Amino acid sequence: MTDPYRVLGISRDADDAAIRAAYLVAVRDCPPERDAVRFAALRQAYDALATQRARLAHDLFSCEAPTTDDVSHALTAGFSPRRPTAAALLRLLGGGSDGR
Amino acid sequence: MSRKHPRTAKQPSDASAEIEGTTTGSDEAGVHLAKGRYREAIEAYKKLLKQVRCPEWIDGLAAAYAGRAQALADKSMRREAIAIWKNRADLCGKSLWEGPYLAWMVAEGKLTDVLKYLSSRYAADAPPDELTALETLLAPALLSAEAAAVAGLPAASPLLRHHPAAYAAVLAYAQHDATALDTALTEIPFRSPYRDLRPILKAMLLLETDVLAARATIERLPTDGPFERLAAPLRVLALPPDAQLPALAKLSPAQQRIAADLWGVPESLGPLLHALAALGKEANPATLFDLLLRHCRSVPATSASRLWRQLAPWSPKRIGESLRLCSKQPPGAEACVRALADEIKGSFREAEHQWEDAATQFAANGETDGRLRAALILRHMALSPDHLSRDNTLDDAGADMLTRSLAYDVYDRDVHVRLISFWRLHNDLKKARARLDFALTYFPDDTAVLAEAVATALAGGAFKKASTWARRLLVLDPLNAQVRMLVGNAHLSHAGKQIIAGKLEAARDEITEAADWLSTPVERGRMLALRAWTYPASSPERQQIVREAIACWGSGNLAAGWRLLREAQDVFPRGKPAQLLQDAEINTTQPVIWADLLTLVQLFETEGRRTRRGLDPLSPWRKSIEKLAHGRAFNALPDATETIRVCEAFNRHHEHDLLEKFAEAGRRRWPQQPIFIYHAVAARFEKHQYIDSDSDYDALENAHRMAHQENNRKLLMRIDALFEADNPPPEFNAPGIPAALGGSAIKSMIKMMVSIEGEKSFLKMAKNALGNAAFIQAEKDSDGNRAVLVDRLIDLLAAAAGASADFMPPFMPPFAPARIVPATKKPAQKPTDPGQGSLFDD
Repeated sequence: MTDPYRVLGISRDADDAAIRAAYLVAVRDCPPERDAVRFAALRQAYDALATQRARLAHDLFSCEAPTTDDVSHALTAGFSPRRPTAAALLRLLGGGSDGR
Repeated sequence: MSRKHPRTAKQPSDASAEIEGTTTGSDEAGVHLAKGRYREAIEAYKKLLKQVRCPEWIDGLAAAYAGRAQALADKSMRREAIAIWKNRADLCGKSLWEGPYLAWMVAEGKLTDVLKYLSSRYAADAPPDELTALETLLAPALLSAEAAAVAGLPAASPLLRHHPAAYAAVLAYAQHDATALDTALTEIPFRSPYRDLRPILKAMLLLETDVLAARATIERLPTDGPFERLAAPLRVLALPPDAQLPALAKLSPAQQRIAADLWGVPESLGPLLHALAALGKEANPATLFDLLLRHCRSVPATSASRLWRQLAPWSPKRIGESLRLCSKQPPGAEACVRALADEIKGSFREAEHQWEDAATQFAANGETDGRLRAALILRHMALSPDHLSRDNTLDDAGADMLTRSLAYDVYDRDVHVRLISFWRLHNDLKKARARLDFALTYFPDDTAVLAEAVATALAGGAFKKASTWARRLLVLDPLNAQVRMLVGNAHLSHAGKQIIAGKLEAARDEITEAADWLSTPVERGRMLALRAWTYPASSPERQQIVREAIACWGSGNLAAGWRLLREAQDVFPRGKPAQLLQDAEINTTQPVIWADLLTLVQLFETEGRRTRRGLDPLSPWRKSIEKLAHGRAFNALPDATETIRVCEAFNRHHEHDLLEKFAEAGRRRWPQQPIFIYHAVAARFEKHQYIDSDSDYDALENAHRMAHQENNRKLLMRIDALFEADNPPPEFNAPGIPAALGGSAIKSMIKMMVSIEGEKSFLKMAKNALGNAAFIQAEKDSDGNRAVLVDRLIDLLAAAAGASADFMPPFMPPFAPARIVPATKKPAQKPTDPGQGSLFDD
């Protein structure tokens, strides 16, 4: 399965307008004449999420097997990036037993 | 006889043996070295050097040590690599600080030794290039070095001069101090040993706002730079999402911690991500689920529920146990997961019970989402293969589910359209209209609903109403080809009715109106044919116009004649084909040849099937066509492909008798082709609605095997569907009827009754017993022929008596009270208005 949220690069709580906006941006970056396969994937993802009804249906009935990437994306999505501490950065630069 | 002494081999002298031995040893050491067997090469060279200290062998030993040390360093065994390198320097007289030694020492944090070496090089006035290279290598480690170590550097060294700016930049980044960071970065000059820190810190900043820009920045840095240790996690995060996980697995734990920070994921997730990366991209869902369950404590609550819903259906046995992954599930979620698990197994019936449970729980929830979920589940069940046939026909249970779903959510236009269409196709126009009125309250300007309104009005013969709907629809969608065709066809249907009613002028007006909507040659031919029939039979006008219609259709005698007679069904259901064909100058006396039949097949392939009304459009040629399926005539056809086309075309138009004959002919000529077996059995199946002989059943099983060998999936599905639809009649044991009676015995008894009671009385009883619908269909099938009708009714009664234990054929009343099947109530029809005006006459 390729998670349609991941294809469109949107969060789980995105509304109709946000989903449409993300779809249009993605299509502008990747029109069908440039990459037909990617465009088809975008279109399919958009169709699966375009309305609240479609999103609920996808949530309820999608039984395609998730891939490792889908799982990793689900695990890591929704977190805000944070900066490492200066100590951690300097420790890494200083090298040592677990550095490479 | 003297005994000959065996010849002894000449022993080499000690000197030559020594030379030969070392030569061989040298070659062997060289081979080990060339093949990367460094340990063996080291041992071999050491052995050689014990004999003669040859400079060539010393270089060989040094190369072997270098190779071995590098191999260890590549496996992150830098300490061991450093020890080997020291051996190389001691035993081979090579310089210790050459090659990768310095980098290993830096990476191992042996800063004091490295700084000592650097000082010695400063003191020795080493070349500037060498000093620059040393400083660049040392720069990252120096950032974390103690102040005393840094202070020991010569005052002129850029390592010392730029150190404060680089250090401040790292601190400013970590403390989110943008101004200080900018200042510090500008203080690091282009030629500084710390210069690589600038793009790295910039890329780390960009990663928070613009991943693409971060990727572009980090890609400009060479991968073998001194700051690569910090750049590597950045490179991973700048990769496309699919490539991140495998790249992450290759980082050191310290680098993975930095990557996790930059990503924002908690540190506790690290082991799970690492294990996930180790599984690879092709891991199956059960394995992924198992991994998640093992790490369930570190799975974030935000994604636990979703991952459980996606993965649990793939491990049905662990659903109960897996609830610990996400303890808080909305009511109905578990039933949904179990239903999906059943669907994955293909057990749709079991899934339906779970879905029902889920729908009930969601509906009881009372929230909008809950009710919508319940509605979606009911729709999902209705449209499952259990309730929706391959040709998109809904069954009664499916229609009931769709109707129930509207109680929870009325805003799904497609459900309304499907239900209206369902009732219309089931001839229950009252319910179709009720659904339509309901749908129009929510979707008054929806083209699909309006198209259904047009179709429903036409089905009920309400032409004016249909035209009103069509006008409204065309205002919304002027280019709607479907409704243009519907309106045009409505005009033509109305024209047909006017011709039947003898209102010929009005019919011509309707045809003129239809011309505004219909434009293809086929449609023009239809209009001309109808116009021709508004003139008296055999009149020159009729003959001329009908010939124009034939010219419009433009195919051979057989195809054009079939089209003409098909059109005539609506106007002259009991008309004489001969007269109609004579007007069109279509000759039916000539035998049909393969070219004619293939033209007809081409027509069959493009035209949809229409229920026959009385007149059989193939009747003038049927016998002639049948002759093509026999003997030499059939063998004139060169290949099986055309015969398959013929069979498919007859199948499409429900010409089961012709299909059976051509399929049997094909089966005889090409016994290795399972498609002919399928068509032959399917044609007979259509007559009885079950496979009526063991030989057919065996033949179909054989065809299934052959199709399987050919990997013909389409045919396999068709044969499976036929087996699925096969519903043989139960053993004959109806109460009141002797069990020994077979189908033929019942038929004989009914025939006897017909001869006693008379045909008229039999027809009345048959109508009561079978119901109006079946009786009318039989009437249509018999093409107005009374004898054929009686035979057909006898067959139907015999079949019904065989299929149902409760069914009493009409001959039973003398022996037992007959159970009369109530005739379906005919919807009230408007009396035909003798003065019907134009269709669009509002």
